Amino acid sequence: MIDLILNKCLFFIRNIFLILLLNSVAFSTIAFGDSRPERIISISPSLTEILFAIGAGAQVVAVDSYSNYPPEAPTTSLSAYEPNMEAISAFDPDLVVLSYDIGDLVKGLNSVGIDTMLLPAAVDFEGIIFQVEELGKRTGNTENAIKVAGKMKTEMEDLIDSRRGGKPLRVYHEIDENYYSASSNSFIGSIYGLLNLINIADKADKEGYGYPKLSPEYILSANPEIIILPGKDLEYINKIKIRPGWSAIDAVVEENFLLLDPDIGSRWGPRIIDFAKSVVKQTEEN
Amino acid sequence: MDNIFKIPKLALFFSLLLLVFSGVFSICLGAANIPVFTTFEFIFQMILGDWESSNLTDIQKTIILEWRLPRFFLGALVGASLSVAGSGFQGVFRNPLADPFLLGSAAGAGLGATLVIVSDLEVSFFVFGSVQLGAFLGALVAVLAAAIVSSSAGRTTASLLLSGVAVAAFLTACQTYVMQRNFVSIQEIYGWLIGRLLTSGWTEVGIMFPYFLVCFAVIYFYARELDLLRLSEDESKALGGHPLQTKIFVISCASLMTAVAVSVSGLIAFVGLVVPHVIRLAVGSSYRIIIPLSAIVGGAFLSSADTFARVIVAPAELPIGVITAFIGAPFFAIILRLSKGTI
Repeated sequence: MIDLILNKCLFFIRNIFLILLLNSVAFSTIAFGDSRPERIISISPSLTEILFAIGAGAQVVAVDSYSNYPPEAPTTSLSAYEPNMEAISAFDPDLVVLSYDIGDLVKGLNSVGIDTMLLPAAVDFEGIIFQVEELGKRTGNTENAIKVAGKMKTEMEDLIDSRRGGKPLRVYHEIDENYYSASSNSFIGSIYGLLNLINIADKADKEGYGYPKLSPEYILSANPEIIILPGKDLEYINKIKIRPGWSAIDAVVEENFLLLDPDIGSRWGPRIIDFAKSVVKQTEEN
Repeated sequence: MDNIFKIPKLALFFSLLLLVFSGVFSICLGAANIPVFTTFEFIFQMILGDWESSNLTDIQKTIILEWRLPRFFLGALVGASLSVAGSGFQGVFRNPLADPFLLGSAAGAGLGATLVIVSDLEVSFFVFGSVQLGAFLGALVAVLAAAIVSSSAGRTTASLLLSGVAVAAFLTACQTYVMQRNFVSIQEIYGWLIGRLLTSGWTEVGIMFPYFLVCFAVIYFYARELDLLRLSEDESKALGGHPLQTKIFVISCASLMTAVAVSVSGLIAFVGLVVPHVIRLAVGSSYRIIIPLSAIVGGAFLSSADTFARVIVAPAELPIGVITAFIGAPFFAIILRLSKGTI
């Protein structure tokens, strides 16, 4: 009796598999158009910032929960790290831009005819410019994007020029209280080198990972002249001043601190220019 | 196959019912705008072989057939694999705390996956993606290492257990080191570590199915031997059992199953530990009952948990490991309190 039931079950399962096999062939031939996307979803805060900067904002229908800039971005509770494919498809997008392809997301979206554009984290300024231009081409805002990219390049060149011949100050870029830092192998840490500054994290990042964890003793002995700190309020500065031994660091003595909004520090996008400007301004106070 | 007749019919019926329900549940629910009833109707039409009369659009059909259905089967296979591997380990080690990750496969898979994620390696073998390949190889290497370490230490189950602990500790340390050096990827690695069943299409199901079938068959074949092992190795031998052979085959198959499951889903905790105990407490303590029912109930449990993960916080998605423990632990506590049986 039970053998019979098991047999029936196996037969049924086999039938489903056969049907599905035929079916998957039928659906795999959906073609993509190259037309201008009008319903874009971004599940990458960096790409959201770029999209709005190049004037594609009106085409964006939804962005992930961390995409909080610019304020007019249509933030939803879509998750960038635990993406829910069905929820994304429920917005009926014609293009999904993303920086991490987690769990077959690209393949799955493509299987229902939703186009995707995968742009992984940029590692330097050139990489940011590249993504600005690529997003412009893909969203039908080519001219605007070239304009934005060109302006970013000119502004950056001006900043680089203004720092040429300046004193190569030592910079410590703090990401968090565990002394994680950004070396020149990361997009944010690479800005210092461009501006004729010495990034003290470079010596701790020989493998080129980009975000080494520094030892507190090394920070003391490197004696940075400028310290970049994460945060938006002055609270953080008070906290680091009372760290043991830190009162001897040049930057602490001179109160040469620069607060960096962690959002800007972790997103490769047009706001990198504002950050570079504030770094240059900080060097002038020295 | 006199094993089949050991399973109480009522328990078999209810666990199959549970699996069917979880299937319907996972196919009908989701964040995409597809009416639940139409989906339900569609499944019936599909079973009857009637493709044309559904009012679902092609895209909705694809979502059901290429997203939800494979995800249900994958969840069921992963749940079944982990539960069967868990019962196998519990049987061989005669230890109620044994779970599929006992011999370091979790740590090995974690290191393998982490290395692949941080190195941005893009290798693929046959249909395996790079992270899957890394996790699979990592898990196998870990178990082999544990076996090699223990083989010179007298081949007892205790020495194998301890070697597993040592290997796991070492590999976890390596994994933490690599993760610590790769600040940017932490979120991605962490997501993988707590487990997720993101998939689309049938590739992963196709990969898992043969492994599951073979390993399950072997472990089930040794169910009677595992029952004998519940006494002791000597008594098992006296009663005509083959304890050494049983250990080798069950541990190999359980490890292989775990490695495959982990490679597609990450480290989903709790399922492999608890499902065999639930069966043991609710139905009976013979491995001829525990192994097949663990497969069915484990599959139903994991696929239902995955449906919750997709639906509760939509449009976001919860990591499935959170759900399995959050729902599973209190449920297990209740069973434990209500039961009169002993673990």
